[in-house]
Amino acid sequence: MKVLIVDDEPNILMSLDFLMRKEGYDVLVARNGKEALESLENNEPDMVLLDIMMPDVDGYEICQYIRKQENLQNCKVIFLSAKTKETDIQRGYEVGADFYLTKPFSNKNLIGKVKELLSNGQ
Amino acid sequence: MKNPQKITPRIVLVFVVAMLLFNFPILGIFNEVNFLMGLPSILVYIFIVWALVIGALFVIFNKKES
Amino acid sequence: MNWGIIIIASLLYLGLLFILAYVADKKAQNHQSLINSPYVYALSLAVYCTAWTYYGSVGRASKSGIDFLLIYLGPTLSAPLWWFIIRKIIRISKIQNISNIADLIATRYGKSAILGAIVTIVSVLGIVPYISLQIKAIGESFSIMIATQEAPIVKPVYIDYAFYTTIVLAIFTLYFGTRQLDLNKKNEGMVFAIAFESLFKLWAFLVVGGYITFFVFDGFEDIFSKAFAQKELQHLFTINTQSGYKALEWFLIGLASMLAIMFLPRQFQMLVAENKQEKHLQKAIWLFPLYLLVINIFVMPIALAGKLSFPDSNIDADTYILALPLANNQNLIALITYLGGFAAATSMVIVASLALSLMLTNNLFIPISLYFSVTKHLKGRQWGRWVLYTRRLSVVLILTLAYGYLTVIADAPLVSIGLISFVAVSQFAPAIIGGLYWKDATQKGAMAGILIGFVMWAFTLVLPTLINKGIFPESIISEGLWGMGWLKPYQLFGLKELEPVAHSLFWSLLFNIAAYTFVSIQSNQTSQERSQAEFFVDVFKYSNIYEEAVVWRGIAHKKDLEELLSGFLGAEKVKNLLADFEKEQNIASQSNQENNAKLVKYAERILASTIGSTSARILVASVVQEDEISKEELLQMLRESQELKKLNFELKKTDKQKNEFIGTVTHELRTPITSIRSFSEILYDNPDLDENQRQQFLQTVINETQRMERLINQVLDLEKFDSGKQVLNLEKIDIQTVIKEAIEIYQTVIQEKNLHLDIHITQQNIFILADKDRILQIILNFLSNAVKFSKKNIIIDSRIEQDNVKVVVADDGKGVPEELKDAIFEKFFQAENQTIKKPKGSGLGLAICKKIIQYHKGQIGVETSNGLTRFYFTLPIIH
Repeated sequence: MKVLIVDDEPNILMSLDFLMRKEGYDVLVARNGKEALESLENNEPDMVLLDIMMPDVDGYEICQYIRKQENLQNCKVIFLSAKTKETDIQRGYEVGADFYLTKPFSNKNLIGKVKELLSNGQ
Repeated sequence: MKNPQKITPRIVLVFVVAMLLFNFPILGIFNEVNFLMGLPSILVYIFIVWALVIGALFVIFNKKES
Repeated sequence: MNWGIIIIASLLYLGLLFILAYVADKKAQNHQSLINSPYVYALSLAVYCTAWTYYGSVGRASKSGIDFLLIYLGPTLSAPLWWFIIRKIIRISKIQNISNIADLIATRYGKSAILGAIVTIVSVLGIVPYISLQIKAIGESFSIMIATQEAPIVKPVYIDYAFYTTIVLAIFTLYFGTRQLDLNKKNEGMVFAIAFESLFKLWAFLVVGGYITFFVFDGFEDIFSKAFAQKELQHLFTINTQSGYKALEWFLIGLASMLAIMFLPRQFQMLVAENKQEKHLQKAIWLFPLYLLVINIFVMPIALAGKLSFPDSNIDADTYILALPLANNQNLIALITYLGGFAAATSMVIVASLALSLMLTNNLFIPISLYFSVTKHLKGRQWGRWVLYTRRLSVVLILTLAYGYLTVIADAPLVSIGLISFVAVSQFAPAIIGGLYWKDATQKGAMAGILIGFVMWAFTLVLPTLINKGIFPESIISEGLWGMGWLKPYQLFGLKELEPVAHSLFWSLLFNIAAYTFVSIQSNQTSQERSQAEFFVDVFKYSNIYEEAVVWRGIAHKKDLEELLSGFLGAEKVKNLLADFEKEQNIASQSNQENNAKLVKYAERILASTIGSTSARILVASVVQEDEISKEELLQMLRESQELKKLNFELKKTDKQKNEFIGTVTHELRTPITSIRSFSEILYDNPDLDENQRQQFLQTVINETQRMERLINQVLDLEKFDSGKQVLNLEKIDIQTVIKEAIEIYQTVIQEKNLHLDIHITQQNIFILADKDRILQIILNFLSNAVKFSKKNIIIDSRIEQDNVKVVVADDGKGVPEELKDAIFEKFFQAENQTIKKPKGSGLGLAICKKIIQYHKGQIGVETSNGLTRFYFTLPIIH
């Protein structure tokens, strides 16, 4: 199982990286939107943990990109964002997210959700 | 809405000038049995001034405010 | 031509009008307005061009040459004035629910019912003949179309035809003009149909004009040169100045049309009552004169062509435009022309009869029935129905009067009756224009002016037409009233030199203005008048506070007002309306007096939207007890309302900014908290982590905690600047030493990151008056950004520009996008309405830098040149 983590905060990236590896997933990281798109071209992750507010390409756009790709049909997307307004969350689901988690999040919740989504997909 | 402060003096100017041009004695200058472009001079004069007044009003309200 | 074809064509045309109006009304119900366009608005104003334009202009041009143009030059001259007068009237009318000219004058002068009634009567007397003129034109043009060699024009036929046409027009007006009770709602269908009629009549006129000029003749020059060859036509080529007073006559008739275009009831209906948006006026100011210019291009050629084609004939010059294509056997063109004239006449009849009927209802019939308590028994919806029926009855009354008047004017030429109407409505001009600019003008003054003007108008213009009909003896014109030589209608006070219309306008306006000003100076205003005068004259100042302004004092009981309103609108509806009103007003927070005043005003507004403001005033005044307010108190009250409004606005604005700021800050705080929480949980859940990782994670937690602390300090700092509590330690310092100090702090970091630092500072001292720590803070902020983004080079530069020193920190990083160059200095940069693309490193640092520089009266910014991003600030030097 491959998980792509996208966030422009190096510290958050570090903690997510640790958590996912500990659960036994293969981890890919992207520090901004562009890197994320590059990574998606060369890999087929089963799960993307996606930040929204990033300097170049934002999370919504990346999610829309994923939903358009043939080979990423089964890829799950969880938004991890500090945007907490109802409208932002709404938009997250509209562009095709499987789940939207607001920051700060509890590790247990996140891992639980990741596991649940990945097992459903099987 | 355009800024009234800028429009007002221009409008007043157009009104005063049009008032002068469309009334005697200036009108009398062109009130001769003369032909301009094959048409009576007074008629040509009135229509040209008329068009100019309309043009001036158009410019006033369509000028980009800097 | 076969009369059947003409009738079918007319019916088809009328059918089209009905369909257009119906569609526009339907669209309006679905909130799609077809008339919400400046072009439709400008076209609807062309209801000014009636059958008189269509037939009468040619007739007049063929008799007296260029003179006819004055009727169109006048509106062109007055168009610029609309920017002042009409814009003001539109604003006032929107705020005060004014829907006709009688209402406007009455409202300005203390909502006087008597004044409103006078204006209404003058309008009806002045305009009804003008309407019958149109009906006559419809009938006449029809009879010309069907005339043959054997059966020339037959009167009974056209009278009948005109009769049936009038009935159709009445139905149209009733259906599209008097369906809705609420006067604030626009008659969308009618306006759209009228705009179409304007377009149609213009097109038709151009078709026939083009045909006559270019097909019957060989262009403009051909017509003019052929006409000039005839000696008896040469006088048409100039303005006839034989009378020594021609200049004055020209000016006076021009003035009458300048005033008519604004104050004719049908023009007021289109200009003001049916105006959708104030800004549409801006386009109409040049578009409408353009319309007039275009429709007049062919008038002179047609007139001369008629003279040339029918020499020594008894064909009426008013009908040349029809006779010419008919004589050339161009039946289709004749039919188009006829329909064009039909369009011109019908549009005028529809709008004028609607405008007059609204005046009659609101300013004559309702006040009278209130006075005699005719409507006392009406309950709830009955009242609304009663108002609507009165309006409909008024339309029928107006059209009946106009039709009846046909017999009186059967032989008069078209143009003179139109001008008689112009002079009649010109009598409103002093009261209206004066009322818009002169606060001390009084009700008594307005009444005196209008009445005396009206009497002089009737004596000098109406009386002679009645004498013509044999109703009064001929001797009045030749010898004067009661044999007094100075009372001759056409030569009043011995003034012989002016032609009748100019003569009448001169005397009537002179006396009108004199009486208006003199009586106004001599009389006093009531408090109602005073407050209206304030609102009218300063409408642009007060328009935003009109709803809230409290300029009323007295005793009012909610129960009485509720009862009154219920009588009109039904108890249920009124309960809801009042509940809404109270919710909006937040009644608890206001004094009793304020409540009373607002309630009274609100009740008046509700009523005014159906029965006009004067009638509404009468009704409300009957149930409340009012006190007088002095002029000083009134101004004080208005000022207070205005200040209150301003204060509220500012409060709301700051409130919004505060909310946005808090949103931004909490959002910014979430990022470090996320890391802290996540790592704390990892550390807690994984006691067996190896020591290195443990250290790294703990270090991250510490770093992120510091980041939060920094953010909080910045917020507090900004808050201090915003509230003005920040204190600066100003001293004379050398900017060079501050720069050096900053460089020393960053020296090691720069070396570690392997960057190249270039320093361009002069050796001489540059002194500024500043808080040293704060300036250092800015340079450090710039430096930290530069270090973060730089690829290789950082340049620090200080130089003198005029009286300022400019300090620049440049880097060769990827730079700031052009559109964000101002935004990055704003503290709300990441607020909700901004782009979600977060720029790196945009905390509150730059916002604080900006505040500091503003406190020092300097400037701050970022610019790009030669691939370098240059953050800079300037500060004034002291010598």
